[in-house]
Order: sequence, then C-alpha cells, then structure tokens
Amino acid sequence: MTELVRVSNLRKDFGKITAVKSISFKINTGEIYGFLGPNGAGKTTTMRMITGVLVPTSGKVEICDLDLEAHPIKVKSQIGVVPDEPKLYENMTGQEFLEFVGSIFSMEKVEMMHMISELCDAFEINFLEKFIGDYSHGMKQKLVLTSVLMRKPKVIFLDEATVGLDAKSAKILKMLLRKYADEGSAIFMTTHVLEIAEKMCDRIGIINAGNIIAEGTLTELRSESGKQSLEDIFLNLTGSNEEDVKEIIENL
Amino acid sequence: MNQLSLLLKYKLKMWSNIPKRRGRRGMPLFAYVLILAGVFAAIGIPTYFLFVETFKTYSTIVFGGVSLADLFVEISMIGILVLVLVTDTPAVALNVFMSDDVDFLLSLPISQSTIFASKAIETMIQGGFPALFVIPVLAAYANTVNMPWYEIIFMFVMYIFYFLILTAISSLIALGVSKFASRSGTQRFMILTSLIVYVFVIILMSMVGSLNSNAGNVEMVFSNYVNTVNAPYLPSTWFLDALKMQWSGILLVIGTSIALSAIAYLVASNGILTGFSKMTSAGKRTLHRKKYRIRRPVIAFISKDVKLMRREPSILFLLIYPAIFPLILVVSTLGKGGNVMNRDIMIPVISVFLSSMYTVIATASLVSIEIKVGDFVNTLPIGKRTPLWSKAFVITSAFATVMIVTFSILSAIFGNTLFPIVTVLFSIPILLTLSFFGVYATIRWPSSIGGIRRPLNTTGTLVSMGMGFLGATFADLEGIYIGYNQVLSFLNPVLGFFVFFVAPVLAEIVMTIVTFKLLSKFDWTKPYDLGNRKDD
Repeated sequence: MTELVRVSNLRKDFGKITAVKSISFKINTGEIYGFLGPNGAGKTTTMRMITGVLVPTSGKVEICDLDLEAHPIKVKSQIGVVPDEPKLYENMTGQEFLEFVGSIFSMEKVEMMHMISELCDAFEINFLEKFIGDYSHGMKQKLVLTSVLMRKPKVIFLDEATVGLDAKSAKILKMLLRKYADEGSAIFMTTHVLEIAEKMCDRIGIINAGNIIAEGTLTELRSESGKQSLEDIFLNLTGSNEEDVKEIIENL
Repeated sequence: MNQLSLLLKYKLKMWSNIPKRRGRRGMPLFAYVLILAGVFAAIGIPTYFLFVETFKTYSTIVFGGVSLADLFVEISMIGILVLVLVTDTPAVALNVFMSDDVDFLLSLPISQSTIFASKAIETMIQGGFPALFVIPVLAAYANTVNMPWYEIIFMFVMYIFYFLILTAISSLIALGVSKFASRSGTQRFMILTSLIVYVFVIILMSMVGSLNSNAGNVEMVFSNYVNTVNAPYLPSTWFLDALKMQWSGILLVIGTSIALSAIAYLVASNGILTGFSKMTSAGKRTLHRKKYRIRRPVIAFISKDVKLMRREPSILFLLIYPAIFPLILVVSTLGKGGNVMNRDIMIPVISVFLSSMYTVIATASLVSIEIKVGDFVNTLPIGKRTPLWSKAFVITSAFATVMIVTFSILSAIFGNTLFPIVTVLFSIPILLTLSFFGVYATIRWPSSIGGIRRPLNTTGTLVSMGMGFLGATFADLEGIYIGYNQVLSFLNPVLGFFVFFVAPVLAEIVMTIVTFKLLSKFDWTKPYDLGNRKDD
C-alpha cells in the first residue's frame, strides 16, 4: 500500500494564536480518511495547509512522494480540492469554468468532455450555460465537484462536501468517492456528519484544539474508547459525554 | 417606526464595523460626515459662483418665457432624474433587493413595507449624494431671480418631493427588474444604462462648452433643446413651474411624489418582495455535450481574465472613458473654429491621462475579483505570479487597444497621426508598470467594503491617481518630443531633449523599479487570504 499523503508535525500560528499545534498523519492509496473535530479545532486550517493554500509555520507535507513546499505546482496538479463554501467567478458560465479548469490542468479534450458528460448526468447538471453568479449554493457545489472529479486526481480533499447537495447527489458523491478510492485515489474529507464518516471512512482522525487526539479505523477507535457509536466516541474524546449533553438540554 | 429605526441602526453599525473586521481602526462617523461636507463645499461653492455669473451674463437670453437660468434648473433636474433612474435603479435591484440579508429580514416578524422602507432609505443614503450637487445650481437660481427666504425654503421642500418621485420610480423599476432579470442580466442592464448616461454627458458637455462663446451662440445651442427640456410631461418642468409658484406645478410635484411613493409602498407591502427569485430557473437543455476548447494554462488564465474584464461593468466603464472623452472634446470643438493644434494635442494627452489613472483602478478591480474567489486560485497548479501577470497584461492591452482604436478613428478623420500614435506607444510600458502598481495597491490599500467596484480605500485611490498622473506626464512629454516637437521650438534643443525625453524615460525606469521592489516585498499568497480566512 502506497502512502499518497504524508503530513509531519504541521503547525500554524496566526500571530500569538496557534490554530494547529502539531499534526501528523498518513493517507494510503485507496483510503478514505475522515477528519473530524468540533468547530474551531483546526480542520480547515489543516486542509488549507495541506492543499498549498496556506503556508505552515513549520512541518512538512508530502503528496505523491513530492514535498509540497519544494514542488507546489507538481503537487497541485495531482490533487483536487472541494471547499465547503464554493467561491467561483460569478461572471463566468459553468461551461467556461470547466473549460478553464481543464486547460489549467492540461486535460485531454476528449477525456474531459466524456467526464463532464458523465458527471453532468450523474449530478443532474443542466445549468452550465448560465452565469455562476446566478447559481444556488448546491449548484455551485455540483460545479466544483465536477471540476475536481472530471480530472480523477490522485488525492481529493473535501471540506464538508455534502453540504448543500440534495439527497440523490450526496448519495452519488459518496458512491463516486468510494469508486475513486477503489481505483487508487486517496480521499481526505472533513465532515460534521458523523454518520457519513462512520459509513464511508476507512480511517478517522479526530482533531481538537489543534492536535490529533485519536486516529485509527472505526474498530480501533471503538476498542480504544470502549464506546460503540462514532458519536459517543467523538463526544467522549472532545470533552463532552452524554450526561453533559443531557444536563445542558435540561437546563435550557 | 421602531422597527424601521432598528433596521437602519444595525445597517449603519454593520457599515461602520467593516473596517474593524478587516483589523483596522474605523473612522468615526463624524469624520466621514466632515469629509463629505468638505467634498461638497469644495465642489459646491465654485459651482454656485460659476452659475451665478453665467445666469447674470446671459440674463438677456429668454426662450419664449423660459430664461437660461430656468433652463439650467430644468437640465439639472433632468440630470438628477437620469442619474437616479438610469444608474441607481439597477444598482438598487442588484445591491439592495437582491442582497443576502433580504431573505433573513423576510423571515423575521417585520412587515414587508418596513423592509422596503429601510431598503429605500439605504438606497437614498448610498445613491443620494450626487443629488446634493444640484443645490448650488438651485441656490444660484434663487440668487439670480432674487427669491425671498420663504420661497427658498419652499424650493428645497419641492426638491425633496421631486427626489421622492425619482426614488419611487427607481424603486418600482428595481422591483420589476429584480422580478424578471437574473443577477447577471441586471449587470448587463447596468452597462446599457451607463451608455445612455454617456450620451447624456456628451450632449450636456457640448451645451456647457458653448457657454464660453458669445451670447448669440449660446442662444442658438440652447434653442435646439428648449422644447425637449421644457416638455410638459417631465417632472423637471413641473418643478420649475412650482418654483414660479404655479399651482399646477406644485400640485403635480407633491401629488405625483405621494402617489408614486404610495404605489411603491403598496407593491412592496403586498407580498411582491417574497415572490422574488434571485435567478431564473435552470433551463432544461443540457449543454455538457457542447464543444470545449483546451488551451495552454497561461493562455487559459489570460482568456479567463479577459472574460471577467469584459463582463465586469465597473471595469468596462473605466475602459470607455479614454475613448468617450476625446469624443466629447471633438463634439464640443466642432464647428467652433477652435485651435486645431490644441485639439490635436489635448485629445491624446487627456486620453493618456485617463488611461494611466484608470489602469491602476481597473487592475485593482480585476485583482479584487480573484480575491473574492478566495482559495481556489491557490489550489491550481500554476505559478503564484501567473494570475497577477495575467491581469497586468490584460488591463494594459485593453487600455492600449482602446487608445489605438480611438486615435486611429480620429486620425483618419482629422489627419495628424504621428503624435497620437507615438504617445500611445510611449504610454504602453508605463501602463504595464501602473498595472503592476494596481496589483500592489489592492493588497496595500484595500477598501473597507472590499468590493470590485471600489477596490481601493481613499489613500489607495489618491496614491494610484497620483502615480497614474505621473506616468501619464512622462508618456505625454515623450510623445510631444517625438511626435509634435514643433511646439518645442522655443527651447534649446539639448534642454528639450533632456526635459522632454531623457528625464521622463529615466523617471519611468525608476517608477518601474520601485513598483517591482514594492511588489517583491509582499507575500504573493496573501491577496487570496483577504477576507477569506476561516480557521475552524
């Protein structure tokens, strides 16, 4: 099994505030890695550092055996990123946007058209001729997913990718991600929906206050914590248990 | 009323919080008021004296009972009408009725009429400032016709009613536009309407230009427009009648403003606001089988920036100015037997000045679009400088093309091609430098609103204008030396060569080096972090 993503001692300081303290993990080929954590834990900051958007204060990121700092362009040509809030060029049409992304990644035209056709059918996209500024959140999310999935990147990063998608599209996305992983890609996804993580992820990392506090397969996490559901494991590890939650509800 | 004041209070709070959110100290409200008052005084006082002088100089000109002062009041009123209806309406539709907070406000237990009223007041605050500039014209009119103080007060009350008419019509059109047009459709509507404003400006400029001529000429120019300007169906004519204490005018201004405001209020109160959709529904046609073009990455980036530039109204406006102003100059000097040499020099000089100053702002706008998109660009496998080089290249090429096309047309008509062509050629390197300075300015002095239409704060805008002015001066001096050196015959040849050629070229080189030094100092990843950092 090849390690497609290697993250070592990643740290990010914003002035006096340390958003990410020291994070290390690996993702193998064919693996879906779930990255969970409460709000403000450092998930998005970590993802932005791994995808080359944010320069880390210290630490190392290697993707497909390439050092991100030394070879940012080569690394970026191997990855696809789906942010939680798709911000796109509002004055471009969906078709122009896909053409732009395809050109930037030097895709083969025939392959690109075939993939766009397939993905548009899958996600029921029939709005590519319209300007992106007229899209809803879900439509933008589908467009970004198409722009990433059409390239079949080696590593896919998704930040809350199912938010804004209708049930059918969310289901298709989950199945597609599994298929891509089975074909050799590595998937890194953050989510607050623990059921998704429970069903989809091969391994899970839980981050809290800038540190990974638990990592492993669901079975490993269950045996370590003595809890059965991922929700209980998560709440237990992040400092809340069922009694605390009940007390909060009763006090309301 | 309480709810309305609450909505407005929090809107003001939101506006004043924007600089704080950007990590900068906000300016107190009274400072903004003082600055606006200063700007108003700086423009308004000279305007007042200019019009007093003009009205007195041409007091003998009367067109069938309508004096030149009357006509100017009507033209000013039509000007405000055009400004509010044509430019503010789509802006209202786009920024107010389609704004993100409308959905939230509609979910609150607040009546739609209150929401509508708060949005209408927001619009008046945002778009009403130009309406103040009619006040010097009205004051000059009052002075010329020796109005007693109570009539002056009455005149300004009438002006408020007049402005209400415009706001009500504008709001009604905005409601309609928002109902039927998409966001991008509204933007295109804005481009179209702005062109109408330019036509209006050209007509106005040619009229104002005639004020320097003799009384006969002024009378001839304005007599062509008097019937149109004084048409009985125009609110501006009612306004003038009201100033002359004619009951028909007073009743029409007050009655129409109350009626239209009531209609706008009723329309907004009867659920039309909730029927709004921010876009038309997606078509059934599937277009993913259309042909796609794959380009080289750098070409793809340039092509994308060209598309964004073409489709951003605020950048298009800036591109139109260097072409439209020579046209205005030509129109205003035609048939007046003016100094041809002056015209031949002035047209390229002004155009280069406008191009230089707007190059910085246009680049800043294009960079702002990229900033708005956020992290996306940083996830692409391209060099970090590619997006910025692309923008500088696109904007420089656009302004150079506008100038070349404009001067080619004018040269074909009037001859004398050398000076304009040389000036344009000399301006291209400086436009490129200024474009890079625009990139720097966007990062160094972003506006607190952070918008594409106003990408730079006041300091940034002033510095950019200053740099543009300097750059244009260098290019124009070089152009004059090479293309029109007969005007330098009074100078010693060596001195002329040094002052008009060597010094500007050296200054350009220094400006370029300084700009690139400044650019090398900042983190190229930073532009895309502005306002987009989310660290959970």
